[in-house]
Amino acid sequence: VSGLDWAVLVLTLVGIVAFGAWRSRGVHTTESYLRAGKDIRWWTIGLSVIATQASAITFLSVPGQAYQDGIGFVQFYFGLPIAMVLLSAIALPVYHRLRVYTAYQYLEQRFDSRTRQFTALLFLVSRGLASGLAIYAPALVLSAVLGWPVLWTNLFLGAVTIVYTVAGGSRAVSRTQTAQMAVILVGLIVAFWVAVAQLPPGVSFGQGVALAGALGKLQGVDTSLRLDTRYTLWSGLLGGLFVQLAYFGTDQSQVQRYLAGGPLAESRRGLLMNGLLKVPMQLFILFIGVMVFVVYQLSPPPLFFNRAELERVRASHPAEVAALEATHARLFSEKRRAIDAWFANHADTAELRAAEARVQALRKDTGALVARARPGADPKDADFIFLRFVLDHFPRGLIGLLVAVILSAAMSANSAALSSLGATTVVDFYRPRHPDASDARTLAVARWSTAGWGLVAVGFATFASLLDNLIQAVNVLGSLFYGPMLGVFLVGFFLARVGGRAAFWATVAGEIAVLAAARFVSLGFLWYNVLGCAVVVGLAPVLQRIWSRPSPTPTGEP
Amino acid sequence: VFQARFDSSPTWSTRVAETEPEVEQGRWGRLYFLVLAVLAMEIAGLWVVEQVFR
Repeated sequence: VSGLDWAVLVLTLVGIVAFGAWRSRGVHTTESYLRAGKDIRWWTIGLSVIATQASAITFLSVPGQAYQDGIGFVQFYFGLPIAMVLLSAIALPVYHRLRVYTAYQYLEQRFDSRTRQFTALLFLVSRGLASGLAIYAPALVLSAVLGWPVLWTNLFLGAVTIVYTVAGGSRAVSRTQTAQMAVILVGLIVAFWVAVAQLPPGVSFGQGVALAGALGKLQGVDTSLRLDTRYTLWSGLLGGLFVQLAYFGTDQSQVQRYLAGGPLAESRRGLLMNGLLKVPMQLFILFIGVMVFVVYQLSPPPLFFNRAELERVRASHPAEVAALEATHARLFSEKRRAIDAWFANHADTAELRAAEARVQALRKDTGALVARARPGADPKDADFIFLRFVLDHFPRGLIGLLVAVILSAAMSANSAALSSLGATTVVDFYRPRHPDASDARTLAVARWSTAGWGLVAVGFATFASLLDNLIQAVNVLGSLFYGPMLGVFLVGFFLARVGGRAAFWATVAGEIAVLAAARFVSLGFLWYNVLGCAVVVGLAPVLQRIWSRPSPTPTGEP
Repeated sequence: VFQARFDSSPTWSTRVAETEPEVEQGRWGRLYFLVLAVLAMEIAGLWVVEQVFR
């Protein structure tokens, strides 16, 4: 990393934080701390919603995932536009009319306080843990770039995010996210351009895309009906719809973004903007990963993309690493010849795929050696693929920009998460117990709880290295809780006869069903959302019929 | 008051009517259709790309 890269990185990050601080000055009340403000416009809401979902994990893991498995992951987002339409039509008007700060306030007004607090608790657990993962991913980047231990980079990134969020609240989060998204979009376009520019002379962009297609990286729609396959058209449309409905409709980190304090129309346009842009944006990031894959078909890739880990293994097993590297070089030469033959005559696709399969098998052998040589180390290197590509192939100055993109994404997603965790803690747990607390006291509690959740996230980030592919870990974690959360909201919206007692126990049963399925049944994780939601929506009316007594009178919000 | 009216509405359409007038629903309906149509075109486009480059 050159001095120019450092200059670009520091100037970009300082510029973003200064912009956010300037736009969010004057946060002295709980209202201004928990809401972005009445003057917020739809494009700010839309960018804020997109930035909240697009964490650093998106930019580290997604290209690596495309490198390994192709663009099929885009199917996960097929349910998102449908979810945006349904939320705009159904949930948003209700939230606006009730003037709630958090989605869970609605549940008390509709059911009772324990349903509200149980659902809020599910959110706190899932989002608190996911925030830890969202800190760990960019900490990996800083660790690889600076050579610092991951623990230090975890602490550094966590501290910056906590200070910045605690100071400015939701207003700082939303305003800063517009600047962060601008940096992210510029960075993505630059990354794509650099990847295409790395194609060797004589190989056109079209040939590169055709090569990716021949090697199965452009399979974006899987119409098979297998339930144990993670990403298919159907799991994306149905399971994805449920997870996105739950995420955007009941996860306070998103609800806080679009219930920013402005008119209903602005919130709605912001959500629909997300519905229009999300799939193309995700596809673009995946396509960058595909281009990285193409570049590494035509020029030698590293044997293992986590270079620091490979060097540690080399220190203890030098002969085995040298043998793997020699085999890797030979297999690459064979594959290169197969590619040249395929470019000349597209007929021999089978030989091309066989050559690629041999390279993939060797990558697995390398991972197995890493696992054997260093128990506890991560044998998978998918999250390092894009980072390694940036460090090895990007010109001076642009490495700093790409690291700024990853850190901007980390800051935006984490600040939104911490702000919403703080808001939920104070609105759903503190204020109902202390209705007479002064505004200054409530604001102080909001700030302290935001900081406290930041510390929890940093603590969990310390253990995140033990998990598989990061973005899948985040999605699996969310899917363990989202189904029942969505279910209780759907019961509230659509099943008018169901009261608080039935809704509460159906939600508890839904959560138990999801945890049992995750433990005992082989089921793609997207289906957890459908299962949890179905149990709540199916069971609540049955319980209501059994317990035909009227439920306790709602207490209402003070 | 709104919550009580909303919850006591017999059908979903009357509930929606509690939240905004019919004219507004129609205006937004066109935008909803646009978002869903774009999604359908994206899926179809991906399927075509897969067939062309497989």
